[in-house]
Amino acid sequence: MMDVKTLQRNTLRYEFSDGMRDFQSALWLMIVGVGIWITCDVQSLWLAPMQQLRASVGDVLATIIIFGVEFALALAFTKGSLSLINGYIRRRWLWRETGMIVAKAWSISRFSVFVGFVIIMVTFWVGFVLAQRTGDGWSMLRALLLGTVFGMGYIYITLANRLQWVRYRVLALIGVVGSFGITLLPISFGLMGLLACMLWALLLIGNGVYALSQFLSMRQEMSDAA
Amino acid sequence: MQREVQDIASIDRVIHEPARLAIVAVLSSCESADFKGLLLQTGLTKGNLSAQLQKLEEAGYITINKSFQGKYPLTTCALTREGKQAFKEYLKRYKALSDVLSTD
Repeated sequence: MMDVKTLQRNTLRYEFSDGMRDFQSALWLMIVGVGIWITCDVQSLWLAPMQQLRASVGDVLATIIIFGVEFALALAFTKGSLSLINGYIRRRWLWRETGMIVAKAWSISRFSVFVGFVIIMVTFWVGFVLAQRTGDGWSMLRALLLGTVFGMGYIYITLANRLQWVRYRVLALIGVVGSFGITLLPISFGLMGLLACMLWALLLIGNGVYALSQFLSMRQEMSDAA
Repeated sequence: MQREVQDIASIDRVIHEPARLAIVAVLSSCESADFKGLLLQTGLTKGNLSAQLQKLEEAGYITINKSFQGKYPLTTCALTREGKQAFKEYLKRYKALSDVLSTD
């Protein structure tokens, strides 16, 4: 029988073959890192307007508005950047010669994302219990960061297995070990979050540059052959 | 043995043809693909791909959308619900059959 699995895997790989998804995730992580840092360490930027909002609409509504705005921004960023990548960068430049393949909405399996979320929650819960026992509130925050990092590591490992690409395994391993090291540093939580996000972003950018260079040389070979 | 013969006969011949199987396998892993994308992934020739796409469309397994991107024609293909179901069924039957044949 024809190797159906290889064909399916190659089609899945195509979405990640030009590094654009890595750059997108890297940019996303940079924004999140700066967001964590501003929220935790630069309160002067948002505290006064937040208090004004609370005074005018009440605590509950203010919290809903803030989370709603954050969620809407995250959604707009994800959808907007993906349509920019597919509609402009890929269709008009990168994939013009090699063809356009639109990936399924869930390139990373829903099950992996769910397990990643469970890992975050479990690690956070362990940190919460530790914080209760030791009276050290920091363990809770560290656990939240570590849990997120473990969850991300898991998602990238499953992606690596699905695509059978070693580079995502290496990324996950360095990301998890490096972020673990960052949580041991005697710095504020905001800075810790910023550094961890920047580390992952740098790893993703490195990964993306490698993928893009491979893709461009493959495209060059194809046009030379034609 | 009669059961196995029936199983062989019930294999979906539209999908079973290697070129069409390759096309359906590619389309099953994405939302849609254009003609160039399918050429790259399947390794078929333009003429063969075009003919097989037409057969799959006639069977109702794929939709073919023809448009223009600037001056250039753009052909985009996607599996229909029937196509997805047929491919799933094909893989199930093929696996069952190959299990039976390998144990005999």
